[in-house]
Amino acid sequence: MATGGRIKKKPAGSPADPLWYKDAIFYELHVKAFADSNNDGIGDFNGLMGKLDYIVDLGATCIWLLPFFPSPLRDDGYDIADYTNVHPSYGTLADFQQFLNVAHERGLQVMIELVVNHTSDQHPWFQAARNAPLGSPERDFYVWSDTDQLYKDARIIFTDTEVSNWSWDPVAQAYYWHRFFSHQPDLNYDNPRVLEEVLKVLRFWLDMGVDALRLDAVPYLVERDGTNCENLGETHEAIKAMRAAIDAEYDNRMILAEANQPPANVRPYFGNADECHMAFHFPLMPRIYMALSQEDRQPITEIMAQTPEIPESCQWGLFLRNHDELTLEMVTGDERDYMYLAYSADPRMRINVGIRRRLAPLLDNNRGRIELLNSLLFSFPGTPILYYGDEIGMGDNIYLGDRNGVRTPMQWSSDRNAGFSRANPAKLYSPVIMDAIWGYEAINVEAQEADPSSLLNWMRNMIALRKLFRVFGRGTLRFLDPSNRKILAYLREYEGEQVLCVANLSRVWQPVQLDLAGLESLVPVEMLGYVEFPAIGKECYPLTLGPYDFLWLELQAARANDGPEQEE
Amino acid sequence: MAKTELLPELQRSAREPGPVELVIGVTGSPEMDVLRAKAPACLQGIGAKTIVAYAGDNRMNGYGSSEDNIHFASYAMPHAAGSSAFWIEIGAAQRAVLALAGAWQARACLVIHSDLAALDPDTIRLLTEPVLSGSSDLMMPVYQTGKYDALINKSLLSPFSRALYGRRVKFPLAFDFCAGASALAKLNQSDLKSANNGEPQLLWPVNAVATSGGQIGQAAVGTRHGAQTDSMDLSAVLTELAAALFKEAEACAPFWQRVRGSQPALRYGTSMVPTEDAQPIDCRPMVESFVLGSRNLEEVWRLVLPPATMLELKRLARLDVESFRMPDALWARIVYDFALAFRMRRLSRSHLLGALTPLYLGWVASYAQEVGGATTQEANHKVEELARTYEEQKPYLVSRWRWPLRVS
Repeated sequence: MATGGRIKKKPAGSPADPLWYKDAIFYELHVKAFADSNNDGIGDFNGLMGKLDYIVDLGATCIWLLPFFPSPLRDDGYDIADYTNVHPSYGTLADFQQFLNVAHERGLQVMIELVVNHTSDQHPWFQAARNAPLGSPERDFYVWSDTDQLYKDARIIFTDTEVSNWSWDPVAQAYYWHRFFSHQPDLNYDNPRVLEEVLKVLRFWLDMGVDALRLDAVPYLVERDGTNCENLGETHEAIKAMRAAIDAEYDNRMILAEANQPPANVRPYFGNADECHMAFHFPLMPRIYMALSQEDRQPITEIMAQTPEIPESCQWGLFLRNHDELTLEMVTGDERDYMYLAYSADPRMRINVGIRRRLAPLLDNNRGRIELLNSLLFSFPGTPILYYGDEIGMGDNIYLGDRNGVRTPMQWSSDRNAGFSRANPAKLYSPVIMDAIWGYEAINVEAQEADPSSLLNWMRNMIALRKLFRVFGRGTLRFLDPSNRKILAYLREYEGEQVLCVANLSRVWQPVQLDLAGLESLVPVEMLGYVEFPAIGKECYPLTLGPYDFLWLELQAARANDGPEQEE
Repeated sequence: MAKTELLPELQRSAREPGPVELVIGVTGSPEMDVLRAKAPACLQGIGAKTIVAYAGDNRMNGYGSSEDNIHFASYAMPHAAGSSAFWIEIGAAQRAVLALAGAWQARACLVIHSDLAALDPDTIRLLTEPVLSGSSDLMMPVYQTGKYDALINKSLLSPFSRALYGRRVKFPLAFDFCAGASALAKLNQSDLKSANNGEPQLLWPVNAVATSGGQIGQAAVGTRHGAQTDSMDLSAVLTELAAALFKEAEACAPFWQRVRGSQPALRYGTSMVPTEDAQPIDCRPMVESFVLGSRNLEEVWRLVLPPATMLELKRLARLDVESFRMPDALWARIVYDFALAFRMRRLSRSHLLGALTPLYLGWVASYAQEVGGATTQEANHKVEELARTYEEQKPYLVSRWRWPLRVS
């Protein structure tokens, strides 16, 4: 498409619908953890290519790749040393291009990371900066100070490892600013050349055909004294510049904000549909777990009530778990204490301000709970994001450092190394999980594919079902308010499609009377089995739900009396 | 959209054809003498510009010359990439002429088979008038058939489409039909290739218009195309058509899942007198094929059909020829289960559809015996009953589509 005389770039395999991300199912994975094709113990792009059919069969439509760039790997790749290349352990740039092409051929979109708040301290920009004279353009790529007393109001994020956001560089003879690890110096967005270079990186990947970019740590781009250095106006200006470049030059691409903030503070990252297309809804995740543990819908309804409207073309990104800890930064102190007590009995399960566990272990491997939470994920307003392995109920390893316990090799089969690699087990980048409950011999793709009642097959069905109904990705949300607070009930509506979702957050049976005024005479049809329920009348609609049960009811008009053929 | 190759001089003309009332798109290379002789008489009464487009490079008058506002234009027959299948080629040609009509911004496009059987004044009037007057977006023909004619359509294409898309159209995969401007736009948006694997797709005009809520009419026409697939093996024809039907169902699932019941199509013209010249059919070979299939294909059928259906088939296989009857509900569920297995790729699609043939022959044998002594009109009632059964059984399909279960 031409705009202002320029031809926008749209490679083969790009989605036709500019709002494709609203109906998407994201699947988050790390290349290193997925499949190893050359048996060096580390997953790679060729291995991933061999597993694309699995992702397609699952029903995912967009792969989110965690960082795969050259890096010292001191923060699992979020410490980037070269923005426009592939870490040699994972393959080459040509391998990535081939992967991208093959993914597009299968109708999959691909999202990669744009980690541009900071670089690795091994990045040539930082090496040049620390050696460049004060005031030089090279030096000015990062945030330097003679004192570590600037920006004192900015909180420390990695509380387990960092004591300050400043670190002394003996070469530069100055302090440099870092919101994360001390080996991750923050880029200086007050220097226009930084944004220019970031835009070059962005264009590099979009030109290759990447469909979406996740803007990592986006609230922290700009610092100002006297503020908490988060969500500043200048940060939004930088994002707008990125979005403008995308809109001017590319069709149907998407950027997603990682802003771990309350919903009201995330709202500006959508701008007037001129910043990010999507943003994660971070605070919802812990509150879903809290609601489940307390058997009370209030934590969910409360956070959703605080969630502002967003522009029509924008979308929330929803997830139950991801590659990081289950973050508790966006809950109150009491709520945090409760969550620690409820979900991390062993202190090793905690890290920073959160809980480093996978979905299934968090839920005590209770199939009903796992299905219930996924039903919420698939029916809440937003785009669901699955974390690799959670679709088979993979476990974690709390004895590994940092967040590596949730980044273990994908469990493909009961073969050696879980079918992930043929390497000597000692060579694997991480040990596979081997215990009796969570080990790869008990939980793996091959076994679950053969088992019609497996979690994997259940997930496939649920995803396929969700994809039949655009209301889930695009519809409005209205909570009902039944007196039984163990029941969460809400209506989704989009262009005449109406779906009533009812979930029992309790471990025992629950009755509920739903006030469905305004929906009289509609017929609820249970969506999974296509079973008609009694029509809605003037009285409250009674339902009874078993432990952790959920119902998706499509509200259909009563069947019209079909007439005979009409002759003109 | 179908890639249509225009001859170079027509490419220029296609950009500036002026207002076009009607495009008659011939889906292939017709006999030129017949086309030239019949077209003017058939198009009398259509005042504004009409373009007759046909496949071939033997330009007759070339675009621009005209007789009574009728212009002739040729187009290069598009290749149905990777396929030489009969219906796929027809579908590619239909898409080509619709794309041409779209490019010319025609008010309507009448698509006709290259045998020119539909090129007669009555058929053209019946199919085009409702569209040009704006009362229908799409006009489909109701061909005059005997009780033993078009049985794949009667047993599979028509009732399956009706149940899924909610429009009671007798011939959803007709050689001839007429699309108005809005239907043209919709049809030209429908992708030539399936999203999943890039295979060529047939054109299903009724489904495309139904999904956009368009008005569909049908008219009884006297057109007889003759047997198009006589030289082809039944199994090949059935496989090709069933595959196309099931692929379309896969592509349109979000739409048809929410369609309940069916709407009658607006009917134009008067019903034809049914033909009554059908000779009795010997059902024994078909029943024997069914019984042979039940012995040799049991392993395949068990991958597709649930135990209750298998039990009924075993019972059928034990019946003698005279008492052989396949209930409509059983046949409808068999078709739905094959559609599900096709979607789930439970086995190779060609093997799967090959295994449908003996079952189809079983249905034909049952139908033939039921209507053997009946008039064509009575046989048509039987076909209508089958279509209603498909509708009644649709929840069976929807529930399994939404939540597939292992069948055995």
